[in-house]
Amino acid sequence: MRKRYASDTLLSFAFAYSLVAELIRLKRAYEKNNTMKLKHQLSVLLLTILFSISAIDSLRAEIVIIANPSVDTNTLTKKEIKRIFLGRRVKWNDTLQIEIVVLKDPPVYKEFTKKITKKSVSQFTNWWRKLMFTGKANLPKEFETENELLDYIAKTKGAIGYVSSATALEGVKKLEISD
Amino acid sequence: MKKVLFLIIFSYIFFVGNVFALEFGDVSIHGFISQGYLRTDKINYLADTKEGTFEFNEMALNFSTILTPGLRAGLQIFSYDLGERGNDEISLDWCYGDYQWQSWLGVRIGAMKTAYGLYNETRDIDILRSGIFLPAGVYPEIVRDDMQSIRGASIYGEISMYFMGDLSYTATIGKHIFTPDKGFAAAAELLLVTEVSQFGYENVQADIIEADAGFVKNIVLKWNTPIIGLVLGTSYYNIDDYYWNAVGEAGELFLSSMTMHNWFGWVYSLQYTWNDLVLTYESYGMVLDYKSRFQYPSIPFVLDSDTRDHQESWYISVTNRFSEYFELGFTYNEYYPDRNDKDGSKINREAEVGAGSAGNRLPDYYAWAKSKTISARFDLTSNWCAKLEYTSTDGQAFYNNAENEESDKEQQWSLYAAKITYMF
Repeated sequence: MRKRYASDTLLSFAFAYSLVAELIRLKRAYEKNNTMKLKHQLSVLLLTILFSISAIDSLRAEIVIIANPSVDTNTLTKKEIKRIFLGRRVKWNDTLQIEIVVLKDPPVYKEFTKKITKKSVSQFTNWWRKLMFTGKANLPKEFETENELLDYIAKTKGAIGYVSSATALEGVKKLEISD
Repeated sequence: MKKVLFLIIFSYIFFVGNVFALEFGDVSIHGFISQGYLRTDKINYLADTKEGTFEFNEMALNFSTILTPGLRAGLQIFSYDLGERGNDEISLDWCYGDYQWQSWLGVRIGAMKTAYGLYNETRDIDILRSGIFLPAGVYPEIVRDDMQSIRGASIYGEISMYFMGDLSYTATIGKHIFTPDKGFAAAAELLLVTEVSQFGYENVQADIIEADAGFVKNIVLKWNTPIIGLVLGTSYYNIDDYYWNAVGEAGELFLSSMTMHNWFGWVYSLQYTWNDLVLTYESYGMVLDYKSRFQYPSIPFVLDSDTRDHQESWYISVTNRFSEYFELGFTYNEYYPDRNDKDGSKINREAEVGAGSAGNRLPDYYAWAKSKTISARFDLTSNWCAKLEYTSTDGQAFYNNAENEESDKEQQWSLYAAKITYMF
């Protein structure tokens, strides 16, 4: 995990450096009133921004869905996972309640809400607050670190959560995602 | 005593517990407390706002637990103050048992929040939206107390339509708690005084002594379309046999009553979410068919009148979250108390006849309210939220006699609002 964050940080600095360098070149072209160069630099800047955005986007954490071994399924569809994490399905079967667990580590959390629930972090938070303040659900359990989350899911029957794909999994099962 | 208990729990959470939620065994406890400030420039709106007022707060505390897989129970107590409304009286907001048998079928029994439109269930909880107030035409304050919750039963679920998305539904039957001193009845009491005064009586007094209704039927459908982020919805409610009875004094005692043959309303909703941008459109209609009766004991006949009110409103809003801490929203709302009199020609004529003098005519702009609102939301921490809001309104359809003098007739007016909320 740490290695990945270090490489992410280095790449982010590299993108920031190229953006600043392009801006300086653009300023110089503007000061020299060189129209051709100005157009050229603007195109390069635009491409750099687009590349940076897509590259930074790809830096986001990949996540895996995990559950307590008591959960009797190994595969869930994307749609079913979304329904579970939005509180629309509340039990695995007649004897096992679903307990949702959320990791609030920012890059993983952001990736999870966007990819799994198709919501931003604030929209996801408000979704659950709405359910809670109208009596339709209890808020998911929240943890700041993956170790705490893994520990809780391993001990809690019916629990489901997510971690980054680089995390070593112990005492929990990984759920495969199908279309 | 209840208020003291309420405050003790909040004080404990605020000063002692550095927590996002309290848990006692299997019981989760959550809540929020908010304090706002309102100021208007030309008329009073909802409170004595021309001088600025802090009579604008809300508090809620809820307890919930999971009893067996699929079965949960909980309750929420709630209080609010908004000028003469609420007055921090504690009420049972919701209290019900909820069993989800399958995703497509669940049952709730007890007192549930009344669902219509995208926001009525959460109208008391402004932390769930960008703005401080909901668009007043679609979510009228006049029925806020009456439509807070339904005591009864509902079925709900979500039906997968495969490549066509999902359809969620909620159908509820039960009763609203109508009281003579709140909501629709309280507004009717003020209207009664105004109407009797128009016939030249002075020091008119009226007191609604009884208000109730039969069953409420409520259905909400939401279609999560295959287009990611696009939700379409519709809501419908019908209230059977609403009535109130009043006694009053205008020179001598009089009796008055109102019985509603039809009271139904509907909302059409469209919401599109693209990343942090949310576009919302809702249109609202409400029909009231009622018979009013007015009787002086000293005269041998009664005055009966049959009336149909058909209200109409719509709004469009756009909000965008710019960062974890900041969100901005804009809303445009139009409201017409009488959809057949959008230009005010009828209200002007009726007032002339009622008052018997052209000098007392209601201006045509009492027939509409068109408001533009800008809201800024600041999420200071995950528990603290602050908001600022500015609303500019053309028209006086939201005008309330209780909060204004006869001379307060202004077509254009503005509302400034600020609010801070703590939740856990």
